[in-house]
Amino acid sequence: MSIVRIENVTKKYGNIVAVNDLSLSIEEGEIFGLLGPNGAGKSTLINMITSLITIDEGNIYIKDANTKSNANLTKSFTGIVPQDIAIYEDLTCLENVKFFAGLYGLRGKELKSKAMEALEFTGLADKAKDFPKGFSGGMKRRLNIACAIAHNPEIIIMDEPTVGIDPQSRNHILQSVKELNRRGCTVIYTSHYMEEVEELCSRIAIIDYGKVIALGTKQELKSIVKHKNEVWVTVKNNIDKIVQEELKEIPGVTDVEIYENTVMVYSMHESENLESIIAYFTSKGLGILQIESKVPDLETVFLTLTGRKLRD
Amino acid sequence: MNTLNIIIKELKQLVRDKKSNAIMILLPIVLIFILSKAFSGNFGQTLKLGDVSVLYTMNAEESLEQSFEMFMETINKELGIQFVEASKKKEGLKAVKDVKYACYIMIEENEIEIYKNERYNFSANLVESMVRSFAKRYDALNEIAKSNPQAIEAILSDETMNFTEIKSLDGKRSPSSLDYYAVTMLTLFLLYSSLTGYSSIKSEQYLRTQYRIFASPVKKHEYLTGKIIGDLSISLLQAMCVFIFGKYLLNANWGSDIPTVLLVVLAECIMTVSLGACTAVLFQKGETGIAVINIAIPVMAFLGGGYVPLSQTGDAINKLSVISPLKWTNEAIFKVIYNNDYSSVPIAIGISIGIAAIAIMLTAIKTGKEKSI
Repeated sequence: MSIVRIENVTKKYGNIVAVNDLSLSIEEGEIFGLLGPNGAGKSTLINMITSLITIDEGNIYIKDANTKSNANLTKSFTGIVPQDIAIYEDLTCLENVKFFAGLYGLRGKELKSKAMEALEFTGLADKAKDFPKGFSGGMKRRLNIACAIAHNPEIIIMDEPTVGIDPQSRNHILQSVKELNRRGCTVIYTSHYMEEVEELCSRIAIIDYGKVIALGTKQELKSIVKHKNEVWVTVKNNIDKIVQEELKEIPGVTDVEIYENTVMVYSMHESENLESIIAYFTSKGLGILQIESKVPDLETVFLTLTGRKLRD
Repeated sequence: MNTLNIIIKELKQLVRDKKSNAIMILLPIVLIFILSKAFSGNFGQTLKLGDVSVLYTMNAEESLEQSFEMFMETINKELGIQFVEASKKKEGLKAVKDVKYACYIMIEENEIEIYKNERYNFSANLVESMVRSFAKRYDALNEIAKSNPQAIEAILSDETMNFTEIKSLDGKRSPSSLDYYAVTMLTLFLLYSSLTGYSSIKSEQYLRTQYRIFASPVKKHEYLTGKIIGDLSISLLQAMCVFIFGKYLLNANWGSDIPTVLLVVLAECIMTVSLGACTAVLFQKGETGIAVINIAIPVMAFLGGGYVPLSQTGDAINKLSVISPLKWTNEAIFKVIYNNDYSSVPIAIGISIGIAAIAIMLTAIKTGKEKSI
């Protein structure tokens, strides 16, 4: 059952079309990944889901309620973990969580117990009375999450929740996302980190220029590029000796790209031309430092579909 | 309830901001000390009313003329104010304009009009206040005469009957430098409450907490009401500290009608906090908003008599001063304290609340617009 339905939504800023006739359905109980480079329209889409900005055309429904006509109701179903840490440094952790949860109607003892639960969930219970001023980036990110979940929302929107934090805190956050989902929360997760999306999300939408360019499970998306093999060869020097046209003459090779001292050779699946590729490099007298045969991942999918790297 | 939640949050944050609280409380107190000492020579404890001359023309009913002559005689005897008859209205107006007289009183048939010169602010206000008092008593007697002619005879035969109640006017006192700066420093520093309103909105934008608040089911009016009431409460608390210190520790004169004076102060505070919030949403760049406030406050304060009394400045400044809401606030407070004159109170409150209403309206229109999120 769809918990969020996005129907032919368009958002324009002057002449710029941020989201272009986009349609999506997010199912109840799933972790849904939104992938796309900066400026692809992810944040605009999230802001429309949370009624923070108006929709020019189309409709978004959360639990069958229209976000345009029932904004307060739809807002009450969601909790948002913004990309930027949005907490007050002059309020204690508990005061921060209580304040934001209070905006969703929680009061009195229930408010306090839910706020404490959220702090426990994010591993900050022992810091409840501390001010976040001296916290590490990871701890602040965890508090950022606690502020979004204390009111037990059915849908949690996480906009790049792991930016700029240490691996330990990142791992904590990823485990938290899984646990929230296990408890029944639907999670909409955006990230630049492909491996996070691969690890967490059951379905993924790749967005570029305000449109969904691919949608499906990880396996479905990878199947888009299953016909491709990728070999990365890193050479010591004389990279200018490499002639891309000569490499393309090797049977099965479809494309060649050169980045600094790394040559990326794309071939048709099952073309079995690795030996020929290595032979080409040795014939040119180039010292090979490293050879890497890559299995298609979401980065490859993204690159194939958009011609750009995700972090471009 | 969301409004209350926001008010409590604001209060917690503002009370914890020790630096701002110290500046807003200690600085005006220190300035009251310094300025009252430095300018003590510019303020007299008593006004030499003997130097004050008032021009008048009279062409009224006989009874009014007789009563007014009695009134002038009493004022001259009690306060030493000189009354000089002008030949015609034109001459009277010109003389007042040329700063030769404090004011010109025109009595025509059964109406009295007063033309004042702002340079004689205090003495002109004092005369105006006494003329008002006279007019009230005269009107009352007129009404009695119409309905009960016997009673009027008894009243007029009473030797204690007087058209002027001079003792109620606190007439011979003008503000000392301490009295003056106790009032003006408080009202001046209330202008800086606009920074509280400004920071309160701007910090939510910087911290991105506004994003989070607007993503919750909080209505815009709940957010703004919570913000303004929270900021207003802390600004009033700071003002009360300055007021209490000035009144009870420095013994500055705040008059006998404290509630009215504080009402004018409250109106000013509502205005400044609202203007601060409005500036925050109108100017996306933080530095621009702060610059606007930091330029506007000293200008408004100077034109409002915050640093030196307007009676000690030139005509041009006096004319320009009408654009400063602080001028109306200070004038209303001083008139209440020294003249028992409430005529400027509704004007001052009206101006403050009017400006606040426009500011709140603009803030409400701009708040939550996509760019500010």
